[in-house]
Amino acid sequence: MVMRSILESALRHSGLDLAEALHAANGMEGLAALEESAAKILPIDLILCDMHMPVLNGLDFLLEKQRRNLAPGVPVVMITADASDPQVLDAVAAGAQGAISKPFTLERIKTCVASLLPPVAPAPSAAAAAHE
Amino acid sequence: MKARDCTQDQRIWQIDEVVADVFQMMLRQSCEVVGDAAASGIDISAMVLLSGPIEAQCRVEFPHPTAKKLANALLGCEGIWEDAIIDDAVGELCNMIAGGWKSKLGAMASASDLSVPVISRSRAPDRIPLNGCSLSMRRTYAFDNSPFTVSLAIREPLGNRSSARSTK
Repeated sequence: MVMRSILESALRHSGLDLAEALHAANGMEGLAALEESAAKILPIDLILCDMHMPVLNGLDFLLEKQRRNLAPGVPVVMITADASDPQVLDAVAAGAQGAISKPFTLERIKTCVASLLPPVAPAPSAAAAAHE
Repeated sequence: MKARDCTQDQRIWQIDEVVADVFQMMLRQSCEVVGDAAASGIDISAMVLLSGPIEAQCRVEFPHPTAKKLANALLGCEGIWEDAIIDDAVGELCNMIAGGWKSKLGAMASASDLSVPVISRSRAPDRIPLNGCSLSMRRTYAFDNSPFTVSLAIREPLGNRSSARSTK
């Protein structure tokens, strides 16, 4: 919950027009949040996902998200404290658009996220953060 | 291949550097080395294990007032935090220190996996036998005049041990 709060704060201080941030404590909660968003037709612009989570880790979340066709086309950025983790490469091979190592600076978050988001959000949207 | 072969002093500098980087980037605060004695009054500890070709443990130990300051600093405001948030802050710090340390251990460590942090409301017991370790060290740091302790231990396969060995 601490890292999710830090990430949300970083996004808000990055000058992004962040309407809402959905939080999930692990991969299973992340999948549930995406299903709920799909049911409500709530568009999601970005998913930040920790690699190391209890219950369902980041790579398995990504694979299951794809298997269920949840949030198709929405960029996923993996967050990890273990930059040497081979699973980060597996996640990128599985469709993650990037990875951010912890610790990070605000500038790093801003640079990574800005390159993945459309310049103007067409409607109120949400960024989902699945993180332990 | 060995875990990166380096002297005990180099290993200590490496962990000092990792801790300083975490505090500078995430908390925008400096974090100074206090010494090798454990901080007194440990109330909360977090441990991350490394398993695979190299087995290791990284433990951080906090007095409650320091842990509260850590949560304040990470979250950017002072608050009356629930225990779960303070525990999570300590766990995140342990996670980042363990990850940074692992990245300095070389290729063999890369093939080992980090666990999620395990939090204890006391001193977490050792999970690998320290008498079989190629490295066992403890370091106490302070930020904002508040101390906390980092303990590290590595057990490498026989025949792959570096020359550095110390138990403090």
